[in-house]
Amino acid sequence: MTQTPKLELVNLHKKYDGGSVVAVRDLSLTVGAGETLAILGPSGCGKSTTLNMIVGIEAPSAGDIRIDGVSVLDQAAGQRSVGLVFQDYAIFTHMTVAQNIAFGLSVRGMARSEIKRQVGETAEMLGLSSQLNTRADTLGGSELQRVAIGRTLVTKPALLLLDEPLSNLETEMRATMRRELRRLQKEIGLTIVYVTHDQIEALSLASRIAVMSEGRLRQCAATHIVYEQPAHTFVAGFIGEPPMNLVLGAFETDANGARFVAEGLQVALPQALGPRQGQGILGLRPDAIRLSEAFGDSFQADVLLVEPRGAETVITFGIGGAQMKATVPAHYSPEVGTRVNVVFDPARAAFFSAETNYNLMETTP
Amino acid sequence: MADKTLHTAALRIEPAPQERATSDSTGGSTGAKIARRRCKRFAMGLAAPGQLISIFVLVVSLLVALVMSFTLWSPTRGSLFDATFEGLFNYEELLIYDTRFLEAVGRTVAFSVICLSLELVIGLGLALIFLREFKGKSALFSTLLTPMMVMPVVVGYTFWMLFQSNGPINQISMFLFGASPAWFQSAGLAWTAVIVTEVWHWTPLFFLIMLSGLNSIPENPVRAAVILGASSRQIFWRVVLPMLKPIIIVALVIRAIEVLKLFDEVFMLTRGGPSTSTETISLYIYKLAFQDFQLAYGAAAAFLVLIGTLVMVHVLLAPVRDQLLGRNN
Amino acid sequence: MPKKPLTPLLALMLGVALVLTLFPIFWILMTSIKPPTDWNTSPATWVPSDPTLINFRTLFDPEAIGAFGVGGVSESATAAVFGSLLTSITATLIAVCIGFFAAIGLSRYAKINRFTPLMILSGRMFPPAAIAVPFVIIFATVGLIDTYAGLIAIYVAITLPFATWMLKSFVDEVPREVEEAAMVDGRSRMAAHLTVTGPLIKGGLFATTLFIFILNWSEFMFALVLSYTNIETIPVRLSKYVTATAGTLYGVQAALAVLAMAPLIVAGFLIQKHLARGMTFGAVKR
Repeated sequence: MTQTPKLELVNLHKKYDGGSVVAVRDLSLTVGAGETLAILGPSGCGKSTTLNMIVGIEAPSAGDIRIDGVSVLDQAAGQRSVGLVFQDYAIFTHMTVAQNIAFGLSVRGMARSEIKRQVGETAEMLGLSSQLNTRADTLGGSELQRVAIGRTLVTKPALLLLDEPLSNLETEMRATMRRELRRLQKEIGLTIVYVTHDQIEALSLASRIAVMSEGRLRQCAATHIVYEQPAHTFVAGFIGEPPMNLVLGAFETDANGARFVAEGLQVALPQALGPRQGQGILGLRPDAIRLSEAFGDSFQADVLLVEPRGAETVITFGIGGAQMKATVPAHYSPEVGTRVNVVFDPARAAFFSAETNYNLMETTP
Repeated sequence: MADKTLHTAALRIEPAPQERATSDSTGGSTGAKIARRRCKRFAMGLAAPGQLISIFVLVVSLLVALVMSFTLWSPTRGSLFDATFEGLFNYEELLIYDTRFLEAVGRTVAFSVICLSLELVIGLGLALIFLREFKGKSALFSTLLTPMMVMPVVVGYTFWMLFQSNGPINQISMFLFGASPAWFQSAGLAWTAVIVTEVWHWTPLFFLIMLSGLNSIPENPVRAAVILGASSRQIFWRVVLPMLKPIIIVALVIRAIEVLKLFDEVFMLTRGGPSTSTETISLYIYKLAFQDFQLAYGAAAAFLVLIGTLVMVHVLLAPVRDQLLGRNN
Repeated sequence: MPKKPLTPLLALMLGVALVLTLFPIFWILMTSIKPPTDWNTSPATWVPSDPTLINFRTLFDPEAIGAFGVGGVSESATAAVFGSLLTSITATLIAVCIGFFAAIGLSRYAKINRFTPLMILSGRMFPPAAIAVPFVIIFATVGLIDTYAGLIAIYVAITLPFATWMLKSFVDEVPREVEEAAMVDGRSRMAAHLTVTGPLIKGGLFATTLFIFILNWSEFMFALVLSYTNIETIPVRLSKYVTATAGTLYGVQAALAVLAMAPLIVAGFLIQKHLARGMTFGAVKR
């Protein structure tokens, strides 16, 4: 029994300058009620344009946007029951916290006593009760963000959008904010869409991630799937720090089975991919690689760079003609220039088509 | 052994002055302190001539005028230095007995309020229209600014011509309303003429400042208000206008200071007439000083105006003073 | 958000504003080229059928208007034009020079206390008639009355705070490091300011100069009070024309008015960008 999704983007297109600039190309997404989705991508990928279209600040060139199953394209930005928290919070600095939160209600002509009650409730939920009468321009970053969230929540939107929610906060604040947002989401069952360029933000806040680049949706799947089985080499290279290693090589099939071969290494192909030939790309997460003593399936590699990072060390090594990175526990630090033995975990390998850059495994959308 | 101790003793003396310097409030080695002092002297040298002249003009002339205002001096009575000190006689006279002065003050204030309100509303209205997109915007913008570039004497003269009984304004008025008023014969009409002249002259300044202010308002709060469901009118009154408040106040204060001193245009239009019905404070002081030669009395009147203006500026600027000084520094 | 276009109503309002703005200027322009027969007609003539430059010529050759059968103007305006040019240009240049150095001094080195803006503003709050009085007395004693030097001195004095403050807001925008780099390069402090800071605020210098020029060119009260027979400026001459001829020589007066207006409109046009800053003492920057 499927519920109507909270938000549906159907084949959205957005063109500028009479078609010469395509900001968003054929974007289709659904967000279920109570879900948290992160739209992730580098600047210029079209995520901000998509955000603007959902909110209603910009109109799509083609396609549809539906909230609770109903198209909202003919509704103006103020009528759509979508809340937006800006990256810079955009608080009304000349008003108090209470007036800020009350704004969306007071412009609708709600009775003052009722407004007061609802504002009080929302402030309580966000820990702002003691500051209701403080002028907004005296507050700090995370308080301002809570006011911005309160301002939208009080209007009971169907959907909450947050633009780069953690980017303006200091590191200590970020962890707190992350917890706050998760708690709010559980308490109210709100559907939240985050828009961000920071993959750590996306990985930590959302249950599903939609990765965009150059106006297209590359993959939209649960967080761990996006991490383990990226659908596109762009996603592979964008998510994870350091990103997934990508090696160009060829597929070979013979009596011993199918494998991927590149200079200096080879990996057996999983059953599901079957026998195949031709060029391909291997994807391996740095934490799926181990350096060790020679045995069985290990390969030779030269250590090029060693970067200690506290609990872990990132080692850049050359294997055949390619360079790869491995994340290893800190106590194992080989010298630069030494030869080491490298083992891959074949279960975590991903394979991409060299022509389309798409993952050869069928992953559920 | 003895040589060594002497040697080390000598060495030890050297660092001491520097240590003292670092524990000083300004900090840094002696070298840096000397450089900074040289800096300051240089700065004084640069700013000095300018400061001196300003001080000389402002302070000396104000002082002379102030001293004068406490006497009953007039040029026909010999040198100023021989005049006797009469205390607050002039001030008393002005504030209690001189109805003409009080009327001039009241008139000027009322006039200023009317003019500034009109200029603000029209200027803001034009600026709001200019937020929209249309062709020929920059040409229109330049053109609309021209009135404030014209010198006050010329403005006064032009409108004096326009308001003549056989002038174009009466022609149009005849055509539209069937009436051809004698603008300079009655107080009310003369006032209207002066107000129209002043508003024509200075509305462009408000237009310019308001447009500049509107363009500097951050976009996101306005967008946030839209998304929260506010109508354009609500956004204007509850978000945009409060953000414009500091700029509006600055514009009002700057113009208020000038309009209270209004002289040139009124001089050309009505000379203060009919009788004294359009006499502004400046005109009255001019008459006192340069037609009646009651210089001391005129000086006292001017000081009252100065004090009044200072108070007004202080009161008006109070809500935004911190913001302004922060910006200026 | 995309900007909205004009509605017909708004376009109409803009049209009205445009007409109202230009009408007085149009009128005075037309009057300045009217032959005497069109000066005082009833109803008034809007556009002369026979435009002529006789009015402008009369400004410099008072008898020229006689050709139209009208009594000549008592004095020519040549002295006034010369006087205005001399005083305005000289006073402006002096004020800007002194102001430039003062601005650097204030901006780079001295500490501003909270009252400096107020001090400057209060200078402008005093009714000019009253400031004129002490000056008349002082100048009479020193013998500067009715001299161009005296008038220039006053103009410099009253525009100097304005020039300093406006230039300071431009100098403030140049980072100190630029001058320090020049000094590290071996130049003396003074040379650094002249060769580095100066050119960097070229636009600001230009705008301030024109702005002060506009102020001086338009100044009326002090010129009126301090001039008797030897000196004259255009505003004074204009007011004298009006009083002397009982306001009937419209064409000639209008011609002088046009002459007076012209440099201002040109200057205003050139410094448009900086107008907001100048008119509000740097409180509002465009």
